[in-house]
Amino acid sequence: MTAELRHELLQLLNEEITLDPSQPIGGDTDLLLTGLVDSLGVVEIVGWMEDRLGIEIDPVDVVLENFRTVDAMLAYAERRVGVR
Amino acid sequence: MARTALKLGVSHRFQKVYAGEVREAEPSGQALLPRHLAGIVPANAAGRPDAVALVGDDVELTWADVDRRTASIARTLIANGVARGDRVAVARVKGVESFEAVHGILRAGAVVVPVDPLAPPDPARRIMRDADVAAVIGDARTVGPLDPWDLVPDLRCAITTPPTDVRALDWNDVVAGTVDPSRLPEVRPDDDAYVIYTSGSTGEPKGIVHTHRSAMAYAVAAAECHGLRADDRVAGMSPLHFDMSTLELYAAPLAGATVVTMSEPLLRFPASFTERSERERVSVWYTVPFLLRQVTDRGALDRRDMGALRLVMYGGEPYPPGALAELMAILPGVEIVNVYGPAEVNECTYHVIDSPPIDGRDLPIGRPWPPAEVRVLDDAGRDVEVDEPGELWVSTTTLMRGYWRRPDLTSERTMARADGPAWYATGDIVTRDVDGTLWFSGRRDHQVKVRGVRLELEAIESVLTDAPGVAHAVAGVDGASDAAVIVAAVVPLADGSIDDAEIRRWCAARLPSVAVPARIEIRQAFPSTASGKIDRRRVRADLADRVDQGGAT
Repeated sequence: MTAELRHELLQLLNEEITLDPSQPIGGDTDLLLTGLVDSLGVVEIVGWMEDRLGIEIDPVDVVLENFRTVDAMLAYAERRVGVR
Repeated sequence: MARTALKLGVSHRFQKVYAGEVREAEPSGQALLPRHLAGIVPANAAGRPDAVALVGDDVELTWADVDRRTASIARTLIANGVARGDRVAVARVKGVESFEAVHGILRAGAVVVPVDPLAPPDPARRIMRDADVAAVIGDARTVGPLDPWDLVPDLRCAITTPPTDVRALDWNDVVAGTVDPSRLPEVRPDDDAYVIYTSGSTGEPKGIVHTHRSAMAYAVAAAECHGLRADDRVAGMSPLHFDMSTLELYAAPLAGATVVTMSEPLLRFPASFTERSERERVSVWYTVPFLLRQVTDRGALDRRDMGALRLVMYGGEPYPPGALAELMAILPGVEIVNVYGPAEVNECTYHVIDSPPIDGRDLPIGRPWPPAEVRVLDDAGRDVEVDEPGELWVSTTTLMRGYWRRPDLTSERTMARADGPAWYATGDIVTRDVDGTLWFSGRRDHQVKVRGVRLELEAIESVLTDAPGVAHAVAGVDGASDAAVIVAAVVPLADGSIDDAEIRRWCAARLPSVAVPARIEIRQAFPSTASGKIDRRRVRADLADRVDQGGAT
């Protein structure tokens, strides 16, 4: 599940959300300091994760620590789906 | 004596004046005001060395620290050949370092040229070329792609963290240095201080040059007029390359306030921003409605204790009245102020909003603030009558020196005046009511005609944005001349569903029929400009594009 989700997230980021397709995004790429994702991109990622995982993401969880990298997003998703 | 007066801070002195405790500004206090921006940090360091100046992500610096570190930056620039009046680019994500870079450059007698650290390198390189920079300060991540040594063959120095290559100096070494601040050059009020770039009408970079005198006039007036205090903790939340940053860079420290830095990545997460504001007991926000709307929409404010927050100022674009009422309901007891002013003058009018707007009524931009005198003129240059629209002209001590190396543009927009500061033509259309309060009604260049009727796109957007379920809206024109119709794109609220037919009904009830959007597109989000405003130009171009592709229905 995690490997699959990781693959899909990386695909989403590299193919749709990135602001600079010439810079490949990996699991530990700092998406925000590199300027590859803007606030619009964050909204898209959150919406995608809600649909994909069938969860609702509380605004209070949409913080830097949970979305800074793909790895952080996966850790958050695991916590959420696990708890559920 | 120096110590006591400085402790009072600018605004405290002013409050005492207003409270009748002293009859007028104390001359001793007046004399202590630094005459130029480079004096702000040293004045605080002399008066209150141990007070906290800057709060970064994981560091707190006192005025004594910042004084020492900025003096060392200045000395390093000079030692490497940066001369008085040379331009120095800053390409750094916001933090204590960006503040220090700016003040270090100013103390060297050089001119600050901020570039967007998160934008693609090309626009930044165009700006650096136009400004003819002598040096650059930034993070390796942002400076590297700018390739400054290639761009400026005789670049004097680059200071980065970590060093981009062997030619670059390490920021950490630079700020660790100790220098004798008395050996720094004397800065004169009429020296250039900073250049803020905007996009010209044809997309070329256009630099707005402020001198120490004009920027200081802004800082003093802003600190006094908005009552900034030494015990304030001001959010450093405006990108450096955006003119709103002048409040946190100059006005806040002039008042002796602490600046709590908010990085660009953090600001992309409204809930992170409110968390940090709560934890650091931030008392002042100054930003664009776009960001405040994200904060009310997704900032989880219902679970934050914002008790320390006392003042929220916004500017840059109109705040949709319904959304503003929502902000005021979420932040009871917080003073909300609409600030208006193009970067050319920094601030021009302000309006303290004492009660939430009702019935979707727009809000005024207020009255001229103390340094500004205004006129509302028709195309022939005559003063218009009360309630008649006209272009806003302003004469103020905060006026820029001019556009960087564009005397043609400068003389197009400014007019010398024998008995005061030059007039500047803002390009904004306003009306003045019987009370002397000004109401913004649009840009000269955003006026559109549909079926012969003149329409202002902002007015349509204001109605759209207040429609049920709508967070943001952009209106544009689709089709040419008599086939032209108003079209719109809207972004729904995070938790809301949206129905375009319902929005059209909402508009039909509030707008002349020609102004009701013929088509409403629902978007997930809007692109924003580098300064955080909705990129209306891009959305409008996109809306118009669909027609050209035969998408008209």
